[in-house]
Amino acid sequence: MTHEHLWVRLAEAKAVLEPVQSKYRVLFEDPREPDAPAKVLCPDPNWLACALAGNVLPPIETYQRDRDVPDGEPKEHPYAEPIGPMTEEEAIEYLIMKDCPVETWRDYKGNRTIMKIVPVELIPSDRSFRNAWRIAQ
Amino acid sequence: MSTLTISNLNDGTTTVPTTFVTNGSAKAWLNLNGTGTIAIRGSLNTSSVTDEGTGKYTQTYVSNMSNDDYSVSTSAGSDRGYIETVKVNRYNQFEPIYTNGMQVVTYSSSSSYYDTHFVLLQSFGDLA
Repeated sequence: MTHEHLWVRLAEAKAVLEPVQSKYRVLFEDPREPDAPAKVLCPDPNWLACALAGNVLPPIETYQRDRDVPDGEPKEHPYAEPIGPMTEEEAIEYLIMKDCPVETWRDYKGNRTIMKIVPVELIPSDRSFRNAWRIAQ
Repeated sequence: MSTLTISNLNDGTTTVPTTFVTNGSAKAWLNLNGTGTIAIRGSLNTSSVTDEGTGKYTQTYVSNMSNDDYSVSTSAGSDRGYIETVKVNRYNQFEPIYTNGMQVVTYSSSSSYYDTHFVLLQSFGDLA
């Protein structure tokens, strides 16, 4: 069975779905950059609306398989059968697996906490000393 | 949804292939507030934005680019009441260009990294 290209589905969804601002942010430290400050991942409101509505986004496994496909070769994720609706919590987990380095959520074996899903209110709005932010242990 | 299959567009005087439209459209765009707790004002084909530190941001696409030969247009601005130069560049010229997103850095007229109210990105090219 063939499906519309993912980009077409996104454009169509944007026309009909109200953006949804997430209640959460993903705070993480990248083990590959030990001197870098903690990073804050902000879900896109249009993407989250698609995740909650369903029938737009491809399975997360397609992105993971496409990482091993060389540039210019056909990719699986744009034409994969879309998945159904997710809860916001499931959408955040999907986003971590898609947009965070695997070293932070799959491969890390250390004792430090390097990733947290936190309510947006817990992210400081004052960006003083932003380049010194670390995750509290 | 119904599909209109046409290969050319004509406005009465000029005919262009529909690929002119599809190839020339922005495949992703982003309007980001890069201050405070960063927030996305508007976007297309974006799954997330990561705040990586002062003046450093990463936009990740939902539908990836085909290869790293795509083109990006960037701009940035402040909402201050006076004229202020804010520059925006690709994040790191020594890192590879990724097909699943782009990194940018914004900096002030004194060339130090700087959080700015408007980070505006548009990506053009071929989708995977």
